[in-house]
Amino acid sequence: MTDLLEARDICFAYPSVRVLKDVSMTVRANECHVIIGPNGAGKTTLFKVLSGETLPQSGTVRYSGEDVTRLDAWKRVHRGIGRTFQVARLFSEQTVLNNVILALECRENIKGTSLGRWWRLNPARELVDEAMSRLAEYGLDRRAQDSAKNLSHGDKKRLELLLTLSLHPKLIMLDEPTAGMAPDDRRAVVAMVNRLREEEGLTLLLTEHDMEVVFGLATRLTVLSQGKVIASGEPEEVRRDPVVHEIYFGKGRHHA
Amino acid sequence: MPQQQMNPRGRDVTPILLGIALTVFATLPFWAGKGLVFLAGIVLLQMVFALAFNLMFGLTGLVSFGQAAFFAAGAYASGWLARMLPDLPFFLTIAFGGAVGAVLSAIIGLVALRRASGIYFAILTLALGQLVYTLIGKTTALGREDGLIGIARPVLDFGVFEINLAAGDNYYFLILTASVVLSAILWWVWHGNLGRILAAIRQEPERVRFLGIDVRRYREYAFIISGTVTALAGALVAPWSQIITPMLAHWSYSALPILFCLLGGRSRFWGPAVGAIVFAGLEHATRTMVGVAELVVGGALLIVVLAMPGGILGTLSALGGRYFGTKREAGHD
Amino acid sequence: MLADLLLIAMNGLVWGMAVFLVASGLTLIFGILHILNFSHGGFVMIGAYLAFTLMNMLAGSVGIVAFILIAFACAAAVGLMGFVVDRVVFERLKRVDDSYSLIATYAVLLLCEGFVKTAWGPNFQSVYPPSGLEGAVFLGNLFMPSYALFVIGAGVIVFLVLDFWLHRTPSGKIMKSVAVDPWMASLLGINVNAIFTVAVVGGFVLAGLAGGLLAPNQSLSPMMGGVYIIQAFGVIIVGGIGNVRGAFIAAILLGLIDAFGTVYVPQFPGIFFYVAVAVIILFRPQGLLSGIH
Repeated sequence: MTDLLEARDICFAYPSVRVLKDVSMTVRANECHVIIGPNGAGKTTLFKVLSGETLPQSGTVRYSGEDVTRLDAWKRVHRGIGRTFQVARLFSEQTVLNNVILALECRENIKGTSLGRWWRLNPARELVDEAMSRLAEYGLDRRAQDSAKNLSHGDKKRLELLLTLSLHPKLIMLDEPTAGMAPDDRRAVVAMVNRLREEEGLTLLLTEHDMEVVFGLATRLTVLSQGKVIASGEPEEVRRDPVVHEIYFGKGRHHA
Repeated sequence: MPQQQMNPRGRDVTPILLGIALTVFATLPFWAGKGLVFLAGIVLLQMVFALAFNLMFGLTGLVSFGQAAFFAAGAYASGWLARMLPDLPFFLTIAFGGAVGAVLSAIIGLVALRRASGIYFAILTLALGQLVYTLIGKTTALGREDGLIGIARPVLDFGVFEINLAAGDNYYFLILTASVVLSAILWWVWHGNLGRILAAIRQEPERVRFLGIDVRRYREYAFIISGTVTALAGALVAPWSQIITPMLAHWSYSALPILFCLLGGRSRFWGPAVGAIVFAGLEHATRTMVGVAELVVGGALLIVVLAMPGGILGTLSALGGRYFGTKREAGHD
Repeated sequence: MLADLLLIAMNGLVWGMAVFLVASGLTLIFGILHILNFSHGGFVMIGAYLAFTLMNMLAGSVGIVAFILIAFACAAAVGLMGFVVDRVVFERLKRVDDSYSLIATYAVLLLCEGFVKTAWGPNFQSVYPPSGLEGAVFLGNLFMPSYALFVIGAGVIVFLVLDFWLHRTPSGKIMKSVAVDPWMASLLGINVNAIFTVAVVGGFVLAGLAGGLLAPNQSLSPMMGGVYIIQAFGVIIVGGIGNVRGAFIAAILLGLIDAFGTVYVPQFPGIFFYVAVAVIILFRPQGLLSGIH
């Protein structure tokens, strides 16, 4: 397995508080890497640094061997990194179908094909058809004409993932993909993530709170506490790690 | 958009209103007095100004408080060129105005879009616009505070035939034609692929960024298109009013398109046009009463902002939708 | 040479303190409500016109004490208007977009202009400084109009009083806590809505006071509100919005920049103010004094 994304000695501080202290981690191709840690450990900030939403004060981020530390987020997307947000960010004034079409138009725009030119008044038929079949694949086709803001929490997250996937990323970063979901929806997410990894060969990087979900899909774990990496490795290894037990699991499951 | 094919909506009155407005404007010189025709020419160009502005405001979600700088840039550039080289073909002087507007908006956009959030963007564009205003008012070649006067309406030479723009209502019809063409271009941008991406940027810029789009560049596109069309409208105003003063660049003139957009409704393409006409009507009706114009316009604006967030067009179509028993969708339309 | 420099600096200081008088109320309201009040300049203008009328009613000579009392009367009257504006307009602006509140208050500015035009007419009016301030004094070998010195003094006093209130008194501290976190403040039992009203009325009182004190500073015209508001916007942005100390320093700084700019680049008076504002928004959007309140 080759290294796809590598963070080295990342430091990040807000004016009054240091959030990340020399964080290093590696995401290998085709693994499902989950970052866990208590609230305030710096997971979301690490996500922002890795995806290009914010710049770290020091340290480097490499993607496929290339230094992308200072690269704009949208350029990282061009190189194959996609991400979702903790609270799904959708075009809430638009229909579900138009959300997907928009993502496909962005893809064509990036590729510079004639389907994504500015003078195109209506989206190309091909893109509309593709959007419908993608929606069907994810069980959202019956909501196609509904306004995105009327979707359930779980469906919103699913739609956002669909938008991200329409750019055919190699690595997707999912920030708390099951937060606030019902158990059934969580199991669906686990199944979907596993399918993406096993059948489509994607690499996934997640932050997640729910331990059942974590152990249902992770092939590797990184444990973050107070801005530092305290353990990293295969799930079973980490589960047995005494330091992690002490700091993290020892406090009871409700913290996890 | 596909939703229009698959999801039939309530009867849209926009084409009817548009037809009525066009008929009125096209026949105006045959039944109205000179004063009203002059006013109509100004209103048409202000409509273009506001429609161009709304590409940034209603569509992309940026509030610029310095748009008058581009209107003035177009007016001054073409007015100055027409005086320097009176024999230059008319369309070239207008195009020069547009080009100067394009360059100026590219520069100001490059600077101002570094802070594309709410108040900072508004104040930054305000400061840059006032800078242009001050520079124009102090430049001798541009007539300082007095402005440029006596800008001629030229003769259009088409080889086989000529149109003397100084004669009769010819220039008015030129303004009408140009306004229709410029509005059509803006309509196309608003409803096309670029417009969809700009609307997406307004709703959720971070999402668009993570769909691989360089958000700042697209905002810059909106800024330049808006600035260029605004400058073209400005270039056309110079021979119409025959005098241009630095007031065209003043911030209070920048407030006009914002006013039109909110009055008419910024989430619809034609909203600002409705706003411009209503505003002109209010101002015309109160023109002889000192101070009343401001009271009426200020009061109307306040009521619209506080009680009718969709503007006149939004409120009308909401009422219309209720009447026809169909629910209309607000937003990108 | 040195005297010239001092004179330019003094001119900058007069400009700065005049604009600070206007900006103080603006930044107070923004600090608490996060509404950038476009109509603020309009109410300064109304204050100035009220002072003009009151001074004419006294006829003959107005002494310094009477002049200051008139300014306080203007402050009270405009404060009352602020109460009405708060109830009718600001109450409804708490949950809307920044740009909407900017436009709504711009509409109020138009109303102010319309009111001034209908009540006092569209023409220029001039107000003379009160007796005792119409002359000039020598400071060393500097020859300064005494009214200019009065403006500087008034600016400094208003700043000191406001600063003392915000930092040293219990009510000022409550004010600041609401500015920082209204939710937390309401949790601690502070009546946040009442504080909002106090801030708005306070801001308007400052507008009226500025109008009264600055009435003799320039000719009165219905355009005056617009001129003041743009300068005050620049000052509070540079100082860090909502920050009174920042506004005070920014007013002095921008006054000096503009005064020296106008002397050394006389072809383009006034542009340095806008350049400075633009540069600071670009490179320090949080203002010069972020973090210090």
